[in-house]
Amino acid sequence: MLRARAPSVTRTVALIGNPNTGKTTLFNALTGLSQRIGNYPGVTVERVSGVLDLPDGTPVELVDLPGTYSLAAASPDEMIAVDVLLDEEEASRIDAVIAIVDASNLRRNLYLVSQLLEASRPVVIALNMTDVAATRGIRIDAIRLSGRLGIPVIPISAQRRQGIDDLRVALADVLSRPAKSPTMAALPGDLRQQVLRLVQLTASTNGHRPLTAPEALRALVDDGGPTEERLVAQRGADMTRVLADLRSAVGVSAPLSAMESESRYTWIQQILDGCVQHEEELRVSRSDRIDRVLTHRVAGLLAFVGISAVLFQGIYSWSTPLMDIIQGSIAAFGGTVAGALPEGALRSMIVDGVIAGVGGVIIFLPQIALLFLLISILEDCGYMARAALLMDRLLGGLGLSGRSFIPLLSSFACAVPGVMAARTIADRRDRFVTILVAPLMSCSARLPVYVLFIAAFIPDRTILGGWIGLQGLTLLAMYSVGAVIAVPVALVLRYTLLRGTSSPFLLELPAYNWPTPRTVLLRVYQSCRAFVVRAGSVILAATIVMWALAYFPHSEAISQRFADERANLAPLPSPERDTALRQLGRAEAAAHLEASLLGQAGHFVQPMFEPLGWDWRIGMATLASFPAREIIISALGTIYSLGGDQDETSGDMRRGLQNATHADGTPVFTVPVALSVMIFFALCAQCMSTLAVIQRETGSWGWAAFSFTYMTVLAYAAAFGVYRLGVWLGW
Amino acid sequence: MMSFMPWRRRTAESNLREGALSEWRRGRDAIVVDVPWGDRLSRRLRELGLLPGVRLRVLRTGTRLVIQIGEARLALRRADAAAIRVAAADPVTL
Repeated sequence: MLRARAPSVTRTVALIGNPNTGKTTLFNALTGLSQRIGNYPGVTVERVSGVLDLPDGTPVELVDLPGTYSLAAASPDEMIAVDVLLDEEEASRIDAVIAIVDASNLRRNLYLVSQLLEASRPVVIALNMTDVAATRGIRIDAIRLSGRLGIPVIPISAQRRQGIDDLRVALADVLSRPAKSPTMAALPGDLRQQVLRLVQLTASTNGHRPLTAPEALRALVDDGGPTEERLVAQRGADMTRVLADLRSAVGVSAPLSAMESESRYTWIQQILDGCVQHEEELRVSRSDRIDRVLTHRVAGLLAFVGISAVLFQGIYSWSTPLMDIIQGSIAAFGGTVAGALPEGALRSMIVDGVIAGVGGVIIFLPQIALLFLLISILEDCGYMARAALLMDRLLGGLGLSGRSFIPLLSSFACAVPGVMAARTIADRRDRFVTILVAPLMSCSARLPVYVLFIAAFIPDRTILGGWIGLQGLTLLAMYSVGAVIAVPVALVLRYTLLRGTSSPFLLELPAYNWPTPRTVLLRVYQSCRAFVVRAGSVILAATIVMWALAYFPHSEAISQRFADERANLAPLPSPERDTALRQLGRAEAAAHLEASLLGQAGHFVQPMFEPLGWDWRIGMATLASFPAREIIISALGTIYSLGGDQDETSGDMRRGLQNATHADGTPVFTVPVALSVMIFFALCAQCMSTLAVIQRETGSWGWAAFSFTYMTVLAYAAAFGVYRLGVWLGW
Repeated sequence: MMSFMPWRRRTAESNLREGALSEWRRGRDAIVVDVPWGDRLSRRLRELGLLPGVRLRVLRTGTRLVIQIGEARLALRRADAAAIRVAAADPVTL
């Protein structure tokens, strides 16, 4: 379908190429900071586009397609990039294609080019890294190659930004000329004939446009593949028979896919003959020598553990000073605003709702920025593929691949960047399983909960002959319980909701090179921006809603009662009065909280939490900490009239919890109750930010709701089990 | 490069002229004899140029193999490599 295009609307060019060819670097060099990240309609794959200026200044939209080795897509996810090129309705938006080709891997890269030549769009080849290829003894005659292929071949160096202007000129040139007719020269005549027959057959089916030649080829060759599935879904089961007939008409015994690859490589050999000089001998490169250590069974694992430790340390502790500064600034700003506004609902909303909510969003930025800085450096220099190789053995048993390791490790610091890091996993099912189990890893926000309850309720003594402290052991147990439970969860998901064969493990190890600062920094910027824009609004909204639930109805009667009591204190001498006033203030906050919607909800759900040994206050504090786990500490502080500004190391807080009693005078917190609260918080999904990021990364609130549900059920069951066990053992 | 598990290398891998890629010795050049077809992995391998007649070298052995074809280095699982047949390549004479 041709769409009328106003002259002011820019034309669109697609950038395609094998993985690890410097595609992103070229994209950045061509578009600069003009990038936009959207989604392809209906799917969660990111559509990255930017504006490229032609030599005469005309702006053109450049779409960066995901890296691919071939247009034969194996899964619906892989179809996206392909659709942009093959599907005529989508393709009508593409006016030309830039194919980036790695000069030192020309043979393999031309496989994709041979497929691109079959589509009806003009193609320009950006021959990247000719300088690197030359050092490996590979010399390419670009002019001759261009003549043989019938399309422009422009030598460039994306990293050094050489040849970029030549590429713009060549692109403007192909855009200004009428498109050349597509060629299927790389295919054997018998196959070509059946492709053309299928195109003709589909031209006569009513109500549908005829297939393009590349689509027809995919439908024929990829037996049972996504193109065939779509064709059958659109035009009826008849198509299955038609395709089978055409396939047998090609008249070969081997599958057509084998015929296709062999035929293309024969064609490539003819094209390259006389255009390329290279050594026959397989060369030992510098990367190979590095890999003898970094992928070694023992040395490689040690190096990996070291690198992981640095990465974890980075997000766990290097980000702390920045986070402290942010937290301090937010608190100071809140204080200033509070001082400037009259007391009341508005002040409370701005300070405890909006400012606290914004703070809750930007507090994550140091971790996200640091993690993505380190990940981008590792990815850009080529190490990530080695890490995936080493970890594949460990994670392969869970139905995952080595690519899941970094997201899971990062989640021990914080699940938000961890879930975002799962983007590097190409396979959809692997990615989803990783995202769903990542929040089970014990993040840093759980630590305050453990620290408080362990210090208050776990006896400080050693067991096993004085070697292991009971408190440390409890902390270790809390830290590992999530990771241990993640194993069966991942396996169950793999065999139920996310069933199916994962894409086979096949990994290219790119040559090591120095990371490009520009590429790395752009990625850090994009990750931070994506978090603030997409997840930030949800987190802010949730914080304000929770504030409202904890504030309203804010009964006048309670305020009045405390105002009266304050008036009664007036005659007391100053130091005693101050203490009494402080206690009154705390009691008032507790009274308001108990009467609030949240407090009422706490009473309402109390029967639900009773089997865990919890009183209504713990239940309410748990509800209040839905936006973020660590809120439970200040919520408990407020409800036990200790003041909301408590932290986990405060002695007041510890004693306050130890002294808390039920109406009948028995203590609220016993060892089983403390353990039950801790294990609940170890496994629950009490983190709005994580849920918002899961929604963003999976493209559906359904998965976020699923995460929340399964984790809460797990947390509840584990808390119940631990409480009962503790009571039974008489702890 | 010293191996930490020398006993494994000697017994598991042979000096035969032809065999499965999964059993091939590290550093010994081979020519691809046969790549299966049908499954997704072998299709992808064929698209990447792992076709009969192509020269390759095993760079890493173990449960995950690394092979070199041309200038590309590919990692694959040992079980998958078992289906690929290779034969000894004579050293290239320059």
